Amino acid sequence: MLIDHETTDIYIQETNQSLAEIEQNLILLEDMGAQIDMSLAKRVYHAMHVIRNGASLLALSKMKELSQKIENVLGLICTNRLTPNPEVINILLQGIDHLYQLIDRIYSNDEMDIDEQSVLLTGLTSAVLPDNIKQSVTEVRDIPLPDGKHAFQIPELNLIQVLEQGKNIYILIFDLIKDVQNKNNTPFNFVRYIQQHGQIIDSMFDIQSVGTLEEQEYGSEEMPYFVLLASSISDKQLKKALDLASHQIQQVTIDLDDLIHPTTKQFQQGMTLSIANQSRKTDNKKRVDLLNAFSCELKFAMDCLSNQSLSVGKKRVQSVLNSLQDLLNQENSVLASKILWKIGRNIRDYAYQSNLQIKFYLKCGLIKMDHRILYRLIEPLTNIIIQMVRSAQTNTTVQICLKMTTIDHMIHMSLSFVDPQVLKQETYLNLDIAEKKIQALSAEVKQSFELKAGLNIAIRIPQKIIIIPGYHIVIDENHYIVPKFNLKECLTNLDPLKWRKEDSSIIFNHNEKNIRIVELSNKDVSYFKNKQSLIVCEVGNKCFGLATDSTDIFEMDVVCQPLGKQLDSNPLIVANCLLDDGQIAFVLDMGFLLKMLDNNKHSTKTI
Amino acid sequence: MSKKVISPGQDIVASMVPEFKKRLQEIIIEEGITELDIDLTGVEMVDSVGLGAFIATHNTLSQKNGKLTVINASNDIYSLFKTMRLDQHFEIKQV
Repeated sequence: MLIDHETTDIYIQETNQSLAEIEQNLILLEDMGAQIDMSLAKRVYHAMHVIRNGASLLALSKMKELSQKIENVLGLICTNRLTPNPEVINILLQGIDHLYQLIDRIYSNDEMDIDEQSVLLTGLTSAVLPDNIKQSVTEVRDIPLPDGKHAFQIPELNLIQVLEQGKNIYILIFDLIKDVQNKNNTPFNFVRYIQQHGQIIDSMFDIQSVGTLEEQEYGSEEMPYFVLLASSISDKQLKKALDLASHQIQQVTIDLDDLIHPTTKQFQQGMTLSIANQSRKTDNKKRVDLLNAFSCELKFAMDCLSNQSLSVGKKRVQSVLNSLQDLLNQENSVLASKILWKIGRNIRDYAYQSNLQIKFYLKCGLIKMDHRILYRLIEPLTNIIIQMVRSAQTNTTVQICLKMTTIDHMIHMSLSFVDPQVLKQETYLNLDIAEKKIQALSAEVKQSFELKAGLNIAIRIPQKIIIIPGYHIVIDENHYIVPKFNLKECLTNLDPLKWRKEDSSIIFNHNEKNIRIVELSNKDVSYFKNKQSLIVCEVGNKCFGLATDSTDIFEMDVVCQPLGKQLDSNPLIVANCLLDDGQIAFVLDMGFLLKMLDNNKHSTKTI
Repeated sequence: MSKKVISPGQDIVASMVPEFKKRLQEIIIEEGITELDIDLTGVEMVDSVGLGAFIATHNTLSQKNGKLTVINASNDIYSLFKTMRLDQHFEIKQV
């Protein structure tokens, strides 16, 4: 495969980032209404153009089709032919949502229906255009081939957009046997190579010249193949790049005035995949260098410890641990505004669907937070804001502000009405569900109401939080978290005959291997036969099993909280955390579980 | 209308195409098959000569009012056929 996973991964990452920026900018454009900031509109158009080009290069047909249609609409906004009113922005945002879903499914080959979205976007393009241009969406133009027998049939709007980008249009003529097969090239590589030099608007085989199976038996094989290419490079450069003879290239001259009057200029080229690829490799190299430095430092620490220089050794180990923690924080820490803007999108959608006027202001400054916390704040904060909107007693626009500040390693969030008078009387909201979700992030939520300041919802989150990626399991109605790096496998549909007791240890036989089972409390074999699944855990190079009542285990990032005095003495657990539904889960100490098993101590400790 | 599925099970490239075309001819002309599915399970590459075999098969079947369908095409082959607009002549289904 020519396009490797690394390139696709970069495309996914870049596209997700671009889509988020486009989404934010579309909301800004909506707020501007008819007073469009052209530079912003062109940035959005250009970002979508880069996404579409990437999809074309990676042969992601649906991604390409949808991004092309969104680009068409954005092109109209850029040329002042379409006002980004809420209806237009809504259709564009829905299109962006579909692109997110398509990106999510790149590797799964999951078919997704984009027909409805395509129709909406095409309808939008044609419906709002003036009559003289409206036709270009549905109007098809013939571009005849030099053989005089065939012609490409291209929607005029596509031609308009290509010409408006300052690109040239070429017909390229190939014979796949002579130009590809005899040059030891494959059609796949051949097509990709052409795509690196422009956008294939259309292509076609002269299938009659190929003949039937019988005709091929007696005649020499030929496979005429024509490509309609839009490219910003000149015919001379293209001839050289694609190794074409003069008769193989023909520039198509279409008068743009004949289609519409051009109003946009050529856009700058965006970041190419190869540059992104390079920067990713540099980042990786920096990380490897840093880890090498850490390993050297640990080696020195080992030397110190073996030389009895305990205090120096401990300092060295501590410095590595601190640096690693800083590195992890740096990796996960992002500007809060980079993620919390999504609340604005949610509120915008709610306002659109409910036909309400809502203005949401986000004031985060340059505050940085762990992105996993920020993502988990979007939903509860959105819910709180919607409840605030519902409680407001006004017929005019409801304006709500979310302000963030940092004081003493705590992040303070404050949600309030811009006009406190929208609440005529002392009001408190029922925040039960949202509150639990925020508390699960080791945060506090408090409501207050003052006559002058009105309703205020204050949230306090510690700036440094320990987050463990793990799997949630249930044993005897208790919730536990198994750290992700300790989980090796999850076995379900357990055969009851494979459980046995051997030398006072519980064993489960799986694929002719015996798995030792950790007992959190002393139980008989019959107890284990009722268990729904078996989690195979790994500590170092040793494995053991945990029998659970969970039918389905799921991954989650949990925010660890220190154990209270009552639990502190329990060696089975290292921390506790709140789940989104308000229940408490315990983070298991996997090292202790293994030690317990190795010592063959049948602990009767229960939590 | 008689239908048949043929599974080449190997890359469709110049070295195997003469044999493959013979087999296709037997199926269409001698066995009278008019609806043919070519199953591309296990096929990772199709070269230009191979593409010619698909088009020739389509042309032969069209003369007999028949229909060619390519099934279980890998991602690369599916995207190649789509880019080359071969899906406008015969149906192509992905794995």
